[in-house]
Amino acid sequence: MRTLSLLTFRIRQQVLEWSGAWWFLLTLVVQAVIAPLIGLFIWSAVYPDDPSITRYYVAIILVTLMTESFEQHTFSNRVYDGTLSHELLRPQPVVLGVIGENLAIRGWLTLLGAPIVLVTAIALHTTFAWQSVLLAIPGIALAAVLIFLFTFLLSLTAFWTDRVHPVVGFGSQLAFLFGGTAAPIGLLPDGWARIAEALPFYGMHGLPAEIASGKQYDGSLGYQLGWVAVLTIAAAAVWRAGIRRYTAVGS
Amino acid sequence: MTVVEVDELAMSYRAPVRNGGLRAALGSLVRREYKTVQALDQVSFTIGKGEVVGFIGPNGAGKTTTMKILSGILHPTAGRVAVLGDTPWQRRAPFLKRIAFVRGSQPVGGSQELTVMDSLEYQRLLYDVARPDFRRTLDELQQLLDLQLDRQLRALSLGERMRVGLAMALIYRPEVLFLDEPSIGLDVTAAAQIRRFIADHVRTTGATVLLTSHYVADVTSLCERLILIDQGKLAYDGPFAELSARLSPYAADLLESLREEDR
Amino acid sequence: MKLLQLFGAGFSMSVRRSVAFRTNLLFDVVLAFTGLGTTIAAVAIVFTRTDTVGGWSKAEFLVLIGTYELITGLRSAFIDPNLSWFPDNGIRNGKLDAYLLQPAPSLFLASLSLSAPLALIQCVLGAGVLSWGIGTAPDKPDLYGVLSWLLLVIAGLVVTWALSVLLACLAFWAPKLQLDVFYHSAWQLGRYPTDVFARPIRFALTYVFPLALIAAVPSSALLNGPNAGQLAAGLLAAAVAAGLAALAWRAGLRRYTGATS
Repeated sequence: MRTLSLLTFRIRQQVLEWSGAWWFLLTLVVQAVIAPLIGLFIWSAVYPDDPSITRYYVAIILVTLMTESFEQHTFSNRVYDGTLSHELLRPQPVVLGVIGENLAIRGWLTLLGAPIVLVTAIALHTTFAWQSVLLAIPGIALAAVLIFLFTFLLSLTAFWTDRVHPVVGFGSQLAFLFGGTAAPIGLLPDGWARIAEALPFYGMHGLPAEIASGKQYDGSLGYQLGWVAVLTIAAAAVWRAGIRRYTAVGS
Repeated sequence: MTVVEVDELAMSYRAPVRNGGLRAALGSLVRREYKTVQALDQVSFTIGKGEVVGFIGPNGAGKTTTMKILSGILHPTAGRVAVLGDTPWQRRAPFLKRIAFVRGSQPVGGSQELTVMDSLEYQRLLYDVARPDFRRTLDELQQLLDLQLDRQLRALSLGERMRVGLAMALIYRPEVLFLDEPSIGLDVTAAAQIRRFIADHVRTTGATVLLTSHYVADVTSLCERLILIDQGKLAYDGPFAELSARLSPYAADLLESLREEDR
Repeated sequence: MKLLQLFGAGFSMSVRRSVAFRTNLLFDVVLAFTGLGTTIAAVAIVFTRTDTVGGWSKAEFLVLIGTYELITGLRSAFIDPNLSWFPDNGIRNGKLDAYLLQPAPSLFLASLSLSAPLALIQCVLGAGVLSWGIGTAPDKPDLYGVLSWLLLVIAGLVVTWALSVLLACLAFWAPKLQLDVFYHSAWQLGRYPTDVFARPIRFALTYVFPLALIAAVPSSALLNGPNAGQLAAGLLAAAVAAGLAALAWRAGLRRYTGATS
């Protein structure tokens, strides 16, 4: 209960702090939207008569906006400039602050990006079935958790190297290719599609977008939950090792 | 011969007024409110060749603004300025090669990964210094400033940075030197070293120097003449000795407080 | 002549200093490889389903990606180190003041005097993809095609420089507006032929924010032979963009130094 109220406090504080930089948030929206938008145009050029392509990609845009993570900037910078030490002194888990800022930024991006999604959907005559959208909500929530865990895990390498941006950049390249943004998973060559379905990236963008656009849905979220468990354990282990190193070096 | 001529110099600028909060931020996009700040008002003085003049006044009095105008970074609102017979803000290359402006707060700009020697070489190219002159000046500077040429800029201490900053400015032998707080943040020995070097340099080269400082020791040991500005206006111009006698009680307090800071 | 010397001196110093950071070199090489690999993989997936996209074949796509990578590499090596995040890196930390004091054109000093040689790895990789694309194309480009490609790439570079300068000039009027993230995102659109985009975007990419010039126009000149109209338009766009950049810089400096107001 205390954790929850601390988190709410942190989110509110961060929402206010970011409100002064709304134009910067807008550029982040553009950054988030651009890759799925390119995918939308390319695949619409390949299948001009298939409305499910546009529906899928509009959903991808929305999922991307709602799940963007920037721990390589927010958290890693605090490691680099040493201000992480202040947070280690506070009687609350450090990750709570990271999550609070993450959710605040996502909230802003979703709010500012919603008009773009709406305009795209209307311009391309895309409609969604509301049942599918409702069904997709748990999937989107789990996707948000997965992306956070993945980005945070990679950002923790800031304890060992000052090149955290290439590391996270590499992670987003994988997510772009295997997560359903470069191409819907079903359109990957056969063997690759099988691999992509097993990797965690499909659960970050492609799966919830497919559910929202009304494709097959067997009701099981086990695949996403499994990866959440794996990434949580990994992040916790890396965090413990990183903190040991950070406090030993004493910066 | 007059080197610096300043006649009824005035500088005002408009600064946006903004209140905090999201609504004010959005509102300021549409309609901004401004207030006019008078940074300099009717300032006149001249400096002769070879003079070393101390330029003092409280924070925000307009010292740095004047220095920026004299070196050509800022364009004044009104008034006439001639430095070496040139109008500074036209920034003609021959003029820029004859002056230097060194700021204690940012003594060396550029890539911090470069070595001291690399940075000096770049200055040689930039200012078209002939190689023999460059070698000779560098030898002198190296002795006087105790430079370590193969160190990276980022690895230098504050005092070393200031010495390198001076070397980079003096390598092209400027005739006029504007020094803005050359000893800011330095400990007593480092500040004394910089002071001694400036005094030596002036004696041997006959350069003209205008120097601002918060440290009275800088000013008293280097300058026979002081110019005091306060709130953009010229408050005193003359020998240091006469200053306290002739000043209004307020300005005397000011000078006293400057001395206090120095202790 | 002096500007070339200054440019060369700045570059050679940067080479020496980047060799000193060997792990960074490794990271940059690896990321340049995987980044390009990701782009090519995404295109390869598309071409498992079709033979042409927006009228462009796979070989043409590769030529386009190679050209884009080449220009982007040059931009990251020579322009970005000077002009990216200009309000903070250029103005607030006093760099511009220092440039104004130096006896060389301030626009040159502010836009081209620093460099990041490691980014040239991208150019090498881009050249590789370019020759791969030419190798798989059914018709090899002729001499005129190559020449007009070269000319258009140079025009594209000038436009790239001018766009970066114009963006940096915004700092003189709206110092809080940092559009770097936006610029880099929009830049991604240059990697694809403009023919695949919807009409409003295509219009913007050709006339407003001419990214079409960066890679799509030179690539089609290389493979389909020179086209006098395109060549003239490219050179004209370069001249106009460079002129605008110089004017904006001058106006911006006047504002910065307080000459107006």
